[in-house]
Amino acid sequence: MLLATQNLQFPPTRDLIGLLPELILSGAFVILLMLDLVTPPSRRSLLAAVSLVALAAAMGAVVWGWFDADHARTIYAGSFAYDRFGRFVDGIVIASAALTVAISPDYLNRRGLHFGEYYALILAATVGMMLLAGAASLIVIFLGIELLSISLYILSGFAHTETRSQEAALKYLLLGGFASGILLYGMALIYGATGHTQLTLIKQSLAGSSGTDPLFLVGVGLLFVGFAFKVSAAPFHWWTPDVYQGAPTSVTTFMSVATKVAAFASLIRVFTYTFADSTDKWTGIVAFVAIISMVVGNVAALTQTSLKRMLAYSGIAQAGYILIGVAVSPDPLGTVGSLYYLAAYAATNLGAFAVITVLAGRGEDLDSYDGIRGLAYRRPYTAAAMAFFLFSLGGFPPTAGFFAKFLVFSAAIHAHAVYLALWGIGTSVISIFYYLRVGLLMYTRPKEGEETYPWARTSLAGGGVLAASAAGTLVLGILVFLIYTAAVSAQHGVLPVPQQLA
Amino acid sequence: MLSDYAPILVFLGICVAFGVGVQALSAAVGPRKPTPEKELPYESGIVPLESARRRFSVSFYVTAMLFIIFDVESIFLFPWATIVRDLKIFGLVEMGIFIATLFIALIYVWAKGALRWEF
Repeated sequence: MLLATQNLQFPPTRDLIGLLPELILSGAFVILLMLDLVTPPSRRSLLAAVSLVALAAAMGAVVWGWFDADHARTIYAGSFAYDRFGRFVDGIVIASAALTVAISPDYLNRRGLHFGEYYALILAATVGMMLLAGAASLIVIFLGIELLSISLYILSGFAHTETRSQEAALKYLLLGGFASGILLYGMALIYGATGHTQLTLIKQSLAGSSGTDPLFLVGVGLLFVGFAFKVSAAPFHWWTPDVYQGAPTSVTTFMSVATKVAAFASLIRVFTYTFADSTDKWTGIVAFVAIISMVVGNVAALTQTSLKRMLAYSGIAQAGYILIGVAVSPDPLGTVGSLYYLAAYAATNLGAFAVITVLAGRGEDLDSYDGIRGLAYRRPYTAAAMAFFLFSLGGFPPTAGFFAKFLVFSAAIHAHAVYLALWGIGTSVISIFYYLRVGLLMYTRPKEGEETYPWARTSLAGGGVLAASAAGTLVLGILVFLIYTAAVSAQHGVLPVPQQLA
Repeated sequence: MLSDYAPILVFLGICVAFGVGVQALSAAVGPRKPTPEKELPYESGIVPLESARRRFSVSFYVTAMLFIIFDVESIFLFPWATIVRDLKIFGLVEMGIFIATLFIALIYVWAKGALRWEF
């Protein structure tokens, strides 16, 4: 008798339905690869259209899943969580992917990088992120991280004739592989300590213990390092500026937003909810990394003269703010704050990078501060949108950034971690300086006869993406209750077994 | 819990001690009379022609990678074949999808010219 085969449970249809969005995008991935072979190079925008249709279908499945996942459950023998938390994050990831795909054809054509694999890889990375957001097993978490990372390694080096892009891809591959190794080692130790890979079972087996098993604690530490690398929190952020700068800007747009959102979702699911009974053991480390990220990100951004590097350091700082929501575990307000922050960060940061993508001319990417000087006098609407995004990143009302920071800081105060709120507010003040510096450059009138950067004409799709990001940033800043209610509902249903909102 | 792993540690210790010990012993008591022939790298008895650090065609790499993909496919096929009767139609469809996906990948790399040797 090799196997008790008569006891084998085949995934019923409801399990397959739980993975419907991922299945749609995986199917589209295969179709895109085949279409690429028969599409003439001049018609490659067609591939972008196919990707958008697939992403729209996946978004429909996610929205339907949001209502269907009212009663959260795990599928595939406890390895995937079918809950509102996962759907919430999936929605952000798919929207980011769709907006990225929409600005890509024009940008890639101008840079001479328009290859069909681009769209297939974006979809593959999206599937990886969605798997990561819903993963309820250490194995699936690793699978999701690898799928998204490997796609992004290739995409970072997509400008294959440029040394800087090659450098970005190689650096990302080497450091990313190293981080994956650390993450996997942490997973192995946690498996060794608890005997399980499913998060619900790990949580159960931890419930009886005090969580002081050294094997378990070392595993938790290594796991956190792996996640901190993926969300680019300091001091694991060294790859971020180089990769963001070297990768083609449309790739950076997607990578800076969606990776962070998905990795944070998994981080919250694993730490805040699975390791919920031993929060006192690890929240100190998370708070420390949050503070380091806020300080390093904001201070380093001050001295930058490259737009992409400035936004990279700003992203590191934003990771610090989002980490506050994890550091105040098990306070459920922290998760709600983090989720809201992720949505706000996605809309805002995507918009800021989209501006740089849309404006990039032929040849070199638009990157230096000089390249944006006087923008407001040639492209008033684009400049206004960029200024709006910068205000949101700096946390001014009535933008998404303001309420995101407000929710995260108030969660810190609610959890009696006032020092975190103070560090956050203090570093936000620093950040205003470098955001406003870029804003002022755009509104500096160019001197008589001075050459400005040859900005590309904004196409209909590019303008639409900027308008959509700006609308998202505005809605998240004014109609706060919309996303707040959704975030509360997502927190309420998160697996494994959430803390209830008081 | 941790003490369960003590035998592994002991085993590791013995392995390291044995390896280092044998090397040290042979270095200490073994006779050593080097000749140019003895210093040559071992090439199954043939005199080496050139340095081993030469550049290889990238085609080797691509072919090796494709080989591994289909190697892994056969590894998946073996356990599947032992229980295919119990899995019934579900198992057949599932493996069909898997092989179809790999086949599409093969068409893709073929069309892209990855199977050409000369570039």
